[in-house]
Amino acid sequence: MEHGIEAAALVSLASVSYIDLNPVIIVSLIVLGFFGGVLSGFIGSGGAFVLTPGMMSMGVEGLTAVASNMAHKFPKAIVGVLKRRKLGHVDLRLGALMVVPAIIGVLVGAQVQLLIKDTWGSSGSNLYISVVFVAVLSAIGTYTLLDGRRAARQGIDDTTSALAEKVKKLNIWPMVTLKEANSRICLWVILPFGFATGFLAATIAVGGFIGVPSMIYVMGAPSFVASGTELVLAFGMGLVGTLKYATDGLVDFRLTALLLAGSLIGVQVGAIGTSYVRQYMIKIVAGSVMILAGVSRAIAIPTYLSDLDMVAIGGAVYLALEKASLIFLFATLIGSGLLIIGAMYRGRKAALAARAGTGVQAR
Amino acid sequence: MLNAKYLSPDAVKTLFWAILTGALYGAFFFFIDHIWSVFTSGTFLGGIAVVITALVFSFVHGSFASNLLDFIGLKVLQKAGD
Repeated sequence: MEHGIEAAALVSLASVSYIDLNPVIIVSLIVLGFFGGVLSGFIGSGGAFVLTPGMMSMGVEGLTAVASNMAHKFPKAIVGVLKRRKLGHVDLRLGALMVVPAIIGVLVGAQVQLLIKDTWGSSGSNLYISVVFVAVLSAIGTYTLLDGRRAARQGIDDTTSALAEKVKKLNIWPMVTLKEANSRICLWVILPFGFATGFLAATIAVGGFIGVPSMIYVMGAPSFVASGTELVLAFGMGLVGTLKYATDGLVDFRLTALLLAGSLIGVQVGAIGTSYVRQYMIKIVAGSVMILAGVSRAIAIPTYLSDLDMVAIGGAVYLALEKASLIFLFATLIGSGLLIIGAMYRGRKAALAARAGTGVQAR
Repeated sequence: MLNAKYLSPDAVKTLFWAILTGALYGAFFFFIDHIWSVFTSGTFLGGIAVVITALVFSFVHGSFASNLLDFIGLKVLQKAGD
């Protein structure tokens, strides 16, 4: 069995190809990193759901994009944890309980990825990653967006989940008290969601799409605690996932370094931004960007189907779809980043104007 | 000539981390051929090297980013009741 895994890794390594860096790609990666970082710090889901498709749209192989993104994500996550912990947004106990099954999920997911690449090649791997992206982004994005709009219409800061209230009544040993998440739930509820988070992280480099919603809607954590705690998972999963993929030679650290150049500033801007807006605003931004990023990936799917000879499309259409996917994603990313920065600017301006009278201040 | 006496402590710290960050990126891309052969070697040692490098980049550049934001005054908003 072990020899089989080693052989699979060697086959993968032999077939890994890395893109040539030119000035346009270098600048694009830094810009992608910055706006991805702003989103990441703001919604706490790692931002990889725009970074992985962004790299793929630039011509990076799907599996290399996932691996390089993981390497960029886990050190950034620890920066986010330190920032958000000061704000009381991190439930360390919940993070610790979810990270163990999440790491197992990462290792299983990574092995599935390698198997797909070795069986169907890069195009098969790209197609698998894209299909999972579209399915997950559209489902979670729609739910999150609708939930955020519900809170906005009701004029409340955040919604409570009816499912979470039912889950809290499930009194099966061992029960766990989560202080920051303000919840007491059964351990057996936490573990499968941890595994699923890790599996998804190894598949599309975004575990947060399961981690964050499960903490909010199933475990009953406030959304800011869920997004802060997910960063603990992102660190643990990213560390193990990076080691696994890097050992197979799949991490292109040039891409990682350029993403970090933009995102390490962006993530801090985004994290600070959460203190300037209401909770539902985070959900509305997150949901909208998820849906639009999913559309961008859906646009690219016919090109992978064509690579696998499953559909026939002309060369001009092929190139147009590739370009459209990239432009659509960048427009979404930059638009949402500017929206967040704009909201911060307005929030700061209002706070400064009210500071003397109400005691509101920037620390 | 740049005189540290005229710079605030925040500015000095930001400048220090900026230089270190620049040096790190410069060294990485200057020695890319050597580094590349280790990072893509497909060995456990190569994997460890990637992980350690990612952490170093994050720590150094993260410190620069944090100091920069403090220096330009972009801070967390604290409400009166917090």
